[in-house]
Amino acid sequence: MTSVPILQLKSISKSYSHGIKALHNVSFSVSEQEFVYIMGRSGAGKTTLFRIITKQEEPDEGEVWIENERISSIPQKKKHLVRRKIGVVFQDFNLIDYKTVFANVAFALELRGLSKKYIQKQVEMALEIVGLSQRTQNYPQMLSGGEQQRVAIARAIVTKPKILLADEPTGNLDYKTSESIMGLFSKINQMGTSIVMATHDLDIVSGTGRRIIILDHGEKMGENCG
Amino acid sequence: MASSLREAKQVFSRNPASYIVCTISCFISLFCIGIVSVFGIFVYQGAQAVGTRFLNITAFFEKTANHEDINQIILSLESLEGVQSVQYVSPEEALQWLQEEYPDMETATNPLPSSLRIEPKSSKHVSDIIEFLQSISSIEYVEDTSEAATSYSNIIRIMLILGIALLIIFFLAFIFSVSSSIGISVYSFRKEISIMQLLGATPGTIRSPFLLIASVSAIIGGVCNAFVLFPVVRYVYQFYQSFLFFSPIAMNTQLLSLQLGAVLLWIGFFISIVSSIFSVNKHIR
Repeated sequence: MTSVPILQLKSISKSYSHGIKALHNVSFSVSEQEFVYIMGRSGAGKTTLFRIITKQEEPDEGEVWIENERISSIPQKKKHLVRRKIGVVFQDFNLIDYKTVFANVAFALELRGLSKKYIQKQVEMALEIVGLSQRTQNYPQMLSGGEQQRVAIARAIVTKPKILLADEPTGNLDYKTSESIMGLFSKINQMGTSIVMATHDLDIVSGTGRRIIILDHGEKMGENCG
Repeated sequence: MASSLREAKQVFSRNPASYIVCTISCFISLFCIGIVSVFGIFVYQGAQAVGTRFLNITAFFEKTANHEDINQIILSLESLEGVQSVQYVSPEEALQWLQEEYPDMETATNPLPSSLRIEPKSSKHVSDIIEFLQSISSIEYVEDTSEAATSYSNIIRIMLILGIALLIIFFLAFIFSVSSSIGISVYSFRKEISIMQLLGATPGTIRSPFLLIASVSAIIGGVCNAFVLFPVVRYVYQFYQSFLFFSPIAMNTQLLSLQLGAVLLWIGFFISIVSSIFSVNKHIR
């Protein structure tokens, strides 16, 4: 593992109307090929943090750096360029119902105007990694929760992002399925992608030996190795 | 482009009713705007035709007025801002016109004075010209058309205000109905829009399927309107000619329908596109 930071958050603060403090002075960095957990209860600020990293929201204070580029200085019109560096996976999968497994994964590349041939090759590779090569023509509603999350992961990695953000990716899955999804994340991490995963499930993080950042009421309470 | 077309198909099939409503709104609103515009054009043309006829001012000279005075007055009148033309009518010409109008009339002498017929540029200049003429000592009498001119101006102003008000109402109704129907469709796609954003789609890529389908709706509505306008404009023209026979106008109704249809098609297209952009932008973060 190298120590080159791929993601850096410097003193991030964010408040909403009515004085609700979502984040207060949160700083951390993620190195290349590192796997970091962000732990905290519901409302701790995990999702707000991800929304700031993906430029869905702007912090009131602080800076976010991705690959040595300060993303807060990138104009709103070009925020898609930031998002292209990041893969995202959500708790509720966020798949498009009217698209097949293949089309859902291919969509991420189609939006970038890439060639059909390239898309075909990359989608096949991504589906191979997540173990869904046989389900390409199925629609999301024909898949189990675990399979749907695999499609979402394939869609997140098909663009070969440097960093993958996963917001409670096992929140809607049973224990066994969660374990297999976590195995998949480990595999993706070993292939070179940095992963930042938000979770409140202690079973997932314990015994992994990975770095854990603990958030509570929008503040970073600590950082340790699980 | 292929991807946008595929998505546009999905956008339509998710909510076909809203785009059918959008197309129908487009057609009805453009048709109403078209009809008001046609009436406006006809009334304006009619007013132009009738205006110069009854707003003409006649000034009668004293018997003592000589040619030098008359020439000087004509030159002064022609230099006035509101004067379109000045025509001198000699006593002989006036008598000839009178006899043409009343062939049975016989006179031993010519009692008619020489006069000037002044055509104003518009009704608003009538009062100034009359005032100018009344200040000249060699002019005995000025036929005052200022009251008629004021009434005429008022009627035109009322019709203009009414026409503009109707156009504004129809335009607002059009914008409201089109943006509402497009807004409903965009709202039903908010999840997909948010996914597209997180996958790194540009705002243009996100908007393109909505713009595509809104353009098609506007074009269908606009073309239908253009086809319906052809017979309707001809009918309105015939109705106008028979109703306001005293102010006949000559107009190529086919050309008018074509021009109006094309202009309204562009307006419909523009409004639909702008409505789409605003509706999608509400969901882009």
